[in-house]
Amino acid sequence: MFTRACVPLSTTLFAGLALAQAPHQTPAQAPAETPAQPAQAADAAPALESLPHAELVARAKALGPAAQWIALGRSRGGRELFALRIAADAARADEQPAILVVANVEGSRPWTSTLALHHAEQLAARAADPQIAAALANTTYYIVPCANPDAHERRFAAVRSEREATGPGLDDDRDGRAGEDPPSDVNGDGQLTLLRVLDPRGEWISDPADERALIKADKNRGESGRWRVWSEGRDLDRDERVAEDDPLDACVNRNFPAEWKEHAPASGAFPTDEPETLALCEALLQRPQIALVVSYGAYDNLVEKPKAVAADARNKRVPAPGVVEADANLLVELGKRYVELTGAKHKGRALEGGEWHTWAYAHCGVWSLAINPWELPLDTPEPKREDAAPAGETGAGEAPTETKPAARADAKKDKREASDDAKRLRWIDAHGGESWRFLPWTAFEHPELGACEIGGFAPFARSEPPEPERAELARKQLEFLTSLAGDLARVRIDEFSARALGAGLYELRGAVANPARLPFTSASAVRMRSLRPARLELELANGAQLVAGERIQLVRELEGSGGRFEARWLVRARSLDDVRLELVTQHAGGDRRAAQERP
Amino acid sequence: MLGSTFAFLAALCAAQSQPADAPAQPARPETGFSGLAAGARPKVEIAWNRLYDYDEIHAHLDRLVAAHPGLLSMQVIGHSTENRELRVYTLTQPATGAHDTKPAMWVDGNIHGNEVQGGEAVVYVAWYLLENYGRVPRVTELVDGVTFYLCPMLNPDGRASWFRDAHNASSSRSGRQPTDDDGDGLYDEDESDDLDGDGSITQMRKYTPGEGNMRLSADDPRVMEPVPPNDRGIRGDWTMLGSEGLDNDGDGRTNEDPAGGYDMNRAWPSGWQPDWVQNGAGPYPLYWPETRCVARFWLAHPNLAGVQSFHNAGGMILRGPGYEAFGEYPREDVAVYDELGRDGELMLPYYRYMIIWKDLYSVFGGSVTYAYEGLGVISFTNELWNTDQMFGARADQQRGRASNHRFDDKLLMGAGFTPWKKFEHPLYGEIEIGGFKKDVGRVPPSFMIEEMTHRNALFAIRHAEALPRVVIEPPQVSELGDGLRAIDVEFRNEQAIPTRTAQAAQKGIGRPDVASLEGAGLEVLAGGWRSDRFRPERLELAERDPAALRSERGIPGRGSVRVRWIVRGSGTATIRWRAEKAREASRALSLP
Repeated sequence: MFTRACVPLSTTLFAGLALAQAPHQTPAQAPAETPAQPAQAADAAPALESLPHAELVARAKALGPAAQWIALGRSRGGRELFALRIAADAARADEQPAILVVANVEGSRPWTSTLALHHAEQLAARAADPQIAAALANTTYYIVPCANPDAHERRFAAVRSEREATGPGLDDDRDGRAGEDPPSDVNGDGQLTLLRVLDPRGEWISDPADERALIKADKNRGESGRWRVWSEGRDLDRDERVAEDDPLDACVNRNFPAEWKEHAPASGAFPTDEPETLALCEALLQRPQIALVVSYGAYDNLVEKPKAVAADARNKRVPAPGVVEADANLLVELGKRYVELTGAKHKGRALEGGEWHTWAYAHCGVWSLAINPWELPLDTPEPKREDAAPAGETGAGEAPTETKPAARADAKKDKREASDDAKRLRWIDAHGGESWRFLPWTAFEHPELGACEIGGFAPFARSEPPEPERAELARKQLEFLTSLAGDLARVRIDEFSARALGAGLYELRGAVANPARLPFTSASAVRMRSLRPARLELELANGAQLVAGERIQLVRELEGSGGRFEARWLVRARSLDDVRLELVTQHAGGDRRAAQERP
Repeated sequence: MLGSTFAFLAALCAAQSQPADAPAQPARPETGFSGLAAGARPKVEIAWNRLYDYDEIHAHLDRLVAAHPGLLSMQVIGHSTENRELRVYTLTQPATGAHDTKPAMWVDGNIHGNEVQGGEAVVYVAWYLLENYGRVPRVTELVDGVTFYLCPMLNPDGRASWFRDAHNASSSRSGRQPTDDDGDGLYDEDESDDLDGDGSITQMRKYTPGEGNMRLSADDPRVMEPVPPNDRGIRGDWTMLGSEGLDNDGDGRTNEDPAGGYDMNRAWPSGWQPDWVQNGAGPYPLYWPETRCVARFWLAHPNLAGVQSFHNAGGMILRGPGYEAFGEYPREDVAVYDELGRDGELMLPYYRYMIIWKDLYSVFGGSVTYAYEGLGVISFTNELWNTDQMFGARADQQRGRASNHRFDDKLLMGAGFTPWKKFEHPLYGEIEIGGFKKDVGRVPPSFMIEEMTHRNALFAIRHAEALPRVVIEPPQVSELGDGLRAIDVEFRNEQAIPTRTAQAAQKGIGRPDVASLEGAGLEVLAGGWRSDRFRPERLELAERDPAALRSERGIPGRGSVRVRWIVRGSGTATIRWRAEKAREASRALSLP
């Protein structure tokens, strides 16, 4: 498998390698050609930038009837929540299986909204593209470009920040006052970063691999902390703690019912108390034809296999959190394709409870893919240069610098691996024009703390892809997204045959099959009883009579890759034309057949 | 005697024809019947031997509002699925402070549509308190110091259907939002059917000689009993066919998708689990408007300090936890629960104080467990009416179905039972339909309703009396020399419930309490919580803001906390205790 681990990522080289990669091909697909897309996009908008919510709205509305606008409600801050529905045939849009794409539920990943809008625009405009045409031929796409506009807008505010909380705040520091010490841009550079102060109570030290990066002091290694680290802000309540009581606490993507953590400030007062959370829940619940959800944001379950659990927790009514083993195995297969198509290697944020994509899977039973489209890579090789990092620290005595070759062998034994932040800094250093992503620690005279330093990664530096990579990244994500249409369960009547037994008596045999890769329902949905079973109904006309068998049968489970359900009936009918079999589902299509006589 | 009867009748007529505050009405004479719940002549007459429909319940409360406009007021907090008003009545003496400055006792009823008598019990709370305000000193003190939020019907649609439609004692538990119970894509398409038109859903049985598993009881042929397994060739002649009904949707099953199909007492956030773990929970917590508007009301009223929910039946005083995995509540709070629960067992004969998961069954997402686990409020569910009450002390010899008949025969002249009667069923052929009517089994007979409402209302009132009340003892001032003084103050909670439950303290629910000292001429140099009443130097010093000390744990029930402030200066000062769930206490102090 191709990896980029040992190659510095210059943009030209990256583009070349990406083209050399074998593109994923579905059977119906023509060989991939060099996409014409960059040229198209160039005159529309410069290079897939993150966009303010109002602009996302305008661009979405500009798509016109090709993408039906669906109002989902309003955010706490009054901004429009919307979905776009894209289908080749609008009249059939609600009858065929659907994929829901949701971006930026957490609010701190605004570029994923651009990605989702890109997909909407491409799907709406390029129906002639073979893979898009194949996907739209039998699948409806719902796209929610921005699920959390209030937090999203902080990307474009006078003070940029990755704060995710948009809902009511509590008395976080238990001082009897709620929200009296919010984060703020104390150095006036228009960005909320970190503030560090030398303090014997601090838990942090500089990473010996790169003094700009902070790591937790490891007492087992004899390290004592030097820096106390805070979000950038004042100490307005003079409690020697900085920005510790934000007037906002509740986060949209911690407010979903699955694994909701009661009494954690970010969780919100109760699940679905946040209007954005409620709107997303209803958007999914009201559309049972949605079989699969793709969420663009900070989380991942494709690069890394999700935590798998047994389907039944024996003797325990409350199940262990995680993905049912059978479903996890299917996610692994989809994940392999995802990695092959996109080359993604980075994982996602650890689950904290109450996340959207977990809820969609665990409580609604739909397939739920979490995609973290880009992060600052961790695999940029260490520069081979011999010039040692300058000894910036004074007084602590850790971080011995490797200047003498003789000392290197000894040092290596005890050398800890560079922290992730140090690795991220290598990427920044290796790329010209990317220095905006890290703000050097700069001395600052704080009104309450006195001497301190402000710096760290700039907001969105870790998750916004560099300009030269964006078009290719979006193209590959769209390729994966459209490939998923071919995986959705589609049920059909595989056989409906009759054997004449004489005197108008027929023995009927029916079989329902699902040729697609994904089962009719996930193991989670079977457990949850959250998706409607398929209804198999024998229709009898002109006095035809049921002699044996169930006229209506509900089929709850149907495996993927050829899973079958068979049924038999005895009927009396004057003609076989009076006997039909109908198959109805909500999320996997349907079928209707007349009986074929068999010997 | 005759004269007083006339006066009484005249007053009654006047009360009915004129507004309650009409000057013509003579002052209510104090009678010699002070032991009675409402004296000899209540201001508002309510017959407590009846069950009332949705409109009638509100009409009673509205009459109480009209008769006691200062003390009782109504607000609509939301609407049900079928657009009925969800009302909360607020009861307190506003002259002694606004409702939201006092600790509040919430009382609700009828969250399950069929569990109707909770509604009457809630009305009784209001009626009893209002009738006795200014008459019974403890009631007066309570209404002055505490707020009651009364929600008589949390599931008005379910109640209305139970009154209006054919049901049995247990149906119409759900609300009325159409729900596809059997997953066939159709909503509420196979309801029970009142085939015999008696207004109740009773039972169907078929005579199947030698092929059944049931037989008629030798003692009472109305009673069906199972034939025990035997080798003697004894077979049953009867087959039970379930509740009265048809296969309305032709899917081979009967009554499998009735109206609604969910449980609004499995819908609350704490410990909520989805439908497959907890049947009836709905797609997400507080999914139904009835539940959501109550939860919002609770969250908007941090003075909420006690919760009582009235259900039926079985004679229980229930507390959480609702499920085993939760563990047990903190020891301090369990002590409060035990004290109130044991009092309840005394006040409510035939009721037992029980833990939901351990003594009943597991419940995820119940409303009273949310009140405690989510909001830190001591809360009970009472299950009103125990069939053992039918024969009282002789209940031991009178249990089971036959005793229901005996009670019905001897005390209700058989009115509670529809005798078995032949019916031609489209699927089963000739069958018989009969059984107890919907108002038998889970609601008491009319002559026992008043006792039930009174005892349960008084349990809620006893709970309200236990809500925290803070007093400040006279402060001790010690001269430390050089103009420095130590002020020692004891803050005492006179009641059983702490100002902050251990649950609230452990989970950081709401705001901490604050003990403060303010005075224009006073400089508070230091302050802290005393941990030893004899050694003043054992002081848990505040790190900052010593004039306003925060307390996460509050004041324990019937306990106190001590504070020492070290001050300089003189003049008048005010000592205060502020808590979300207690009235503010203050005391003036003058330092020469």
